[in-house]
Amino acid sequence: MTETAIPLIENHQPATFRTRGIAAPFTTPLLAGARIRESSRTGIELVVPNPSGGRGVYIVHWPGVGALCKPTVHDTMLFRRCSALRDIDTASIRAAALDVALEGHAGRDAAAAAETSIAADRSQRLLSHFLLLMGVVEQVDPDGIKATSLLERTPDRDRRASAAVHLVAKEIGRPASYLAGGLAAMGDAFSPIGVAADDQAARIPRLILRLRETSAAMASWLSDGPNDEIAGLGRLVTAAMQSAGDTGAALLQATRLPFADPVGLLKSWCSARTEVIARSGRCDALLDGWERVALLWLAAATDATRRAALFEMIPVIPVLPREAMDWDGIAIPAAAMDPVCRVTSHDNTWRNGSASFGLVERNETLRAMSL
Amino acid sequence: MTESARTGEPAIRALRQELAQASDPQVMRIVATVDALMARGAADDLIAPLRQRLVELRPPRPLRFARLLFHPLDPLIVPAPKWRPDHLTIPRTAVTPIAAHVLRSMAQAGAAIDAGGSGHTDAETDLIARLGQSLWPAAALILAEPDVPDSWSVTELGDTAYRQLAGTISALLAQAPALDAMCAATANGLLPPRAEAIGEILGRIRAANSNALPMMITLLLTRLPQAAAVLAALQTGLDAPAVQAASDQATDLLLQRLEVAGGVETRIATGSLADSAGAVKDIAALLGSLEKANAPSSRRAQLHAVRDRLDTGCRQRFASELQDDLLLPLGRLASLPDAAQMSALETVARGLRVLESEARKIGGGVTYDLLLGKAAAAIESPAVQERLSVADQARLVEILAGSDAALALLGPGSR
Repeated sequence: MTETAIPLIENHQPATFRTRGIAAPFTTPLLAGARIRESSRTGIELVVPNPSGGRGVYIVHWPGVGALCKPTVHDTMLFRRCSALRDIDTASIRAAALDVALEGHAGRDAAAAAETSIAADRSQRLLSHFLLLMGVVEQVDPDGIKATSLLERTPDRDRRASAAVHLVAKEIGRPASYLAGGLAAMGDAFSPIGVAADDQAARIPRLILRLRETSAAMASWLSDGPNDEIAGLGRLVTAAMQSAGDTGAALLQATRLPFADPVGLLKSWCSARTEVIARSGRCDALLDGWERVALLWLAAATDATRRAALFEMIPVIPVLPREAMDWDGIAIPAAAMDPVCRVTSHDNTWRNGSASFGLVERNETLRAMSL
Repeated sequence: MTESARTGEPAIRALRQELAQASDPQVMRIVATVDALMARGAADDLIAPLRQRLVELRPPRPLRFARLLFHPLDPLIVPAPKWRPDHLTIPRTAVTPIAAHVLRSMAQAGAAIDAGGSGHTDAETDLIARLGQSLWPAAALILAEPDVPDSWSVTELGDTAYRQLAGTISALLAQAPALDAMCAATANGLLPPRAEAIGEILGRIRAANSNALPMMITLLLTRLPQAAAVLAALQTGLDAPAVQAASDQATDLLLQRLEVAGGVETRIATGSLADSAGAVKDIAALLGSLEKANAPSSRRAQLHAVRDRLDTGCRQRFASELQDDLLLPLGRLASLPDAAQMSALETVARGLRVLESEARKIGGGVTYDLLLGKAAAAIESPAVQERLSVADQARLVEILAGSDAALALLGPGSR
C-alpha cells in the first residue's frame, strides 16, 4: 500500500449528501464502507474510509484504487457501470449493483438474489403507480369501490382512472398526459417507501425492520454474552442502529403523509417536481449504508465471528451530513452526525493475504442477503 | 476387543475388509451411525481400523459428556502407549473413567449438561463454551478431591497416576473458562491476547498446581500462537524463572510433536483446506516464536527441519487437492454445473488460495505460481469452456489467478 501516493483527507465531515457519496456494495475487503460520488474532474470518485480505522478518508479515482488494494472483478464492473451513470443517487447505484450481481460477478447466490430483487422492485413500482392512481380516483369519487392491489385492476377501473385524471387535469390546468406521467414518475420514486399506509413489503420498511431486528438480536447477545471492551463497542453500535431504525421509521411515516391527499400530491408535482422527488429519496439517503452494517452482524454465525463483525461494523456506520438537519418534519439526532467511535488497527493482516479470500466470499454472501 | 472380533469370524473379517475400502463419505456415514448408537460395543471395534482415516477426515463428532469435559485439554491427550507419568500429557484411557466419575459426582447438574450436549457435535464451539462454563469449574472441584474413583481401575495406571493426573486436570479445567474467554476476546485474532489476562491465568495455575503450568502454556500456544510474544514479556517479572522453565517445557513438547513422524504432515493433510491453512499459520507462528528466542544451533537445526517438512507437506496437499478436487471434477463435468457444484468448485479454489497464501510464507512461491497458472490455463482451455459459462470461468480464474486474469478472460473493455 502506498499511502503517500494518495493524500488522506483528515477532516472529512460532509456537509451534504452529495459530498458524502452513495454507499456501494463493494466486495473487496479494503473497500468496505467506500462511497461513490460525482467528481468534476473524473466523472465519479470513491470516498474510502481510512483503512486503519483512524480519522479521515481517501478520495480516489479508479486508477488510484490500485494503490490501496486489488479490486475484485465485481467491483471493477460496478465502478465501470457507475461511471456511465447520468445521475449518482441511491436508486441508480442500487440498479447498477443489481445488474453487476445479476451477471454473476458476485457468485450464483448473489445473482439469484439480484434477479429476485429486480423483479420485486418492478412489482413494487407498478403497485405504487397503481395505488397513486387509485388514490386520485377515490379522492375524486369517494363513493367508488376501493382498490388496494394490482389484481383488482379492471378495464372499468382504468376508464374511471382516466376520467378522474382528466377531471383533475382540468382543475389544475395541466394536460392529463402530464399528470399521468407525474403519477408514473412518483410511483417509481416512492416505490421503495411503499405507497399504502401499512405497506411492510416495500424495501425501506423491510430495511427498517431488518435494522430493528438486528439491533434487538445484538442487544440480546450483549445481555447474555461478553463483559469486556467488546461489549462496550457492541452497545454503541446497537444504540446507533436502533436510533437509525427509529429515525427511519419516523421519516417513513412523514414521507407517506402526502399519500393521504393524492390530488394535493399531484398539484405539488406540478408546482415543485424537484422537491417531491427529493422528498421521495430522503429515507434512502437517511439509511444509505446501514444495510451493510446489519448484514455484517447477520452473516456472523458464532460468538467469535460476531465479535470480529463488531470491529468491521464500526468504521462503516454511516455518518449523516449536516444537510439532514435542514429537513423539515423530522428531528435527526445530533449524534448521527458524528462517528459512533473509532477503532484503529496497526495492520491489515486480518483482511489481506489468506484472510481476504474468506472476506470476499463473505461480502458476496452479503450481496446475496441484500434486500 | 469383543469376542466376535477376536475370534475373527469370516463374516466380520469380510465386513472389516469392506470398511477398509470404503470411500471417505461412506466412512463419515458409518462413523456417524456408530457414534449415534447408545451401546457401541462390537460396532466400535469394527470402526477401530478407520480411526486413522477419521483423523484425516475430521468429521464433527457427537458432543458426548467426556468429549465436552476434555475439549479444552484435547491438545494434551495422547494414546495410552505413548504416555509416561513425567510427560506433560494425558493418556486417552484416562478420559472415560474420569468423565464417568465427574458425571456421577455432579448428579443432576451433570445429567443436565450431558443432555445439553445431546444431539449436538464438537463443531458447535459456542455451545461448548456455554456448557463448559458450568462444567469445567465443577469438574475441577471434583477432581481436586484425593479419592480415587472405582472406575479408575480399568486404566491399570494405579492410584498415584490418578492423583497426579486428576490434580493437573483439575487445575487446568478451573482455568478453562478464563482461557476460552481470553481467546474469544481476541475476536478471531483481530486483537492481540491481553498480557494481564495471560498473567492472571498462569498465576492461578501456578498457585493451584505448578506441574500444570507447562501444560497450560502448551494449551495457550496451541490456541493462540501469538501469545508467545506475551509469554516472553512475562518472563521478566517475579514469576520469571517458573514461567521461563514452563515455557521451555511447553515449547519442547510442541516441537517434539511436530518432530515425530507425521507430526507436521498429518496436520497439513487432514481436514479442510482452511483447517490445513490454519495449521500452517499456527505452526509457522510457533516456529517463528521459537526462532526469535536466541535458540542454540541444535534448536535452530530442529526448527529448520520442521520448516522443510512443513513446506513439503503444503506443496503436496496443494498439488493433490488442486488435481483431485478441482481439475478432475472440472474435467468430469458433463454439462453446466448447478449452483451447488459451482459453489463446491469455488470453495476448493478459495481453499487452495488460502493454503497457498499461508504456505508461500514458508517457501515454494515459484511452485505455487506455476501450479496456479496451469490451473487458470486449464479453466480457460476449450475443453472446460464447453462446460462452464464465461462468468463461472471468470469466477474461478479470479480466485486462482487474480482479478486481472479474470478481466482479461472476460474480454476487451473489461480490464
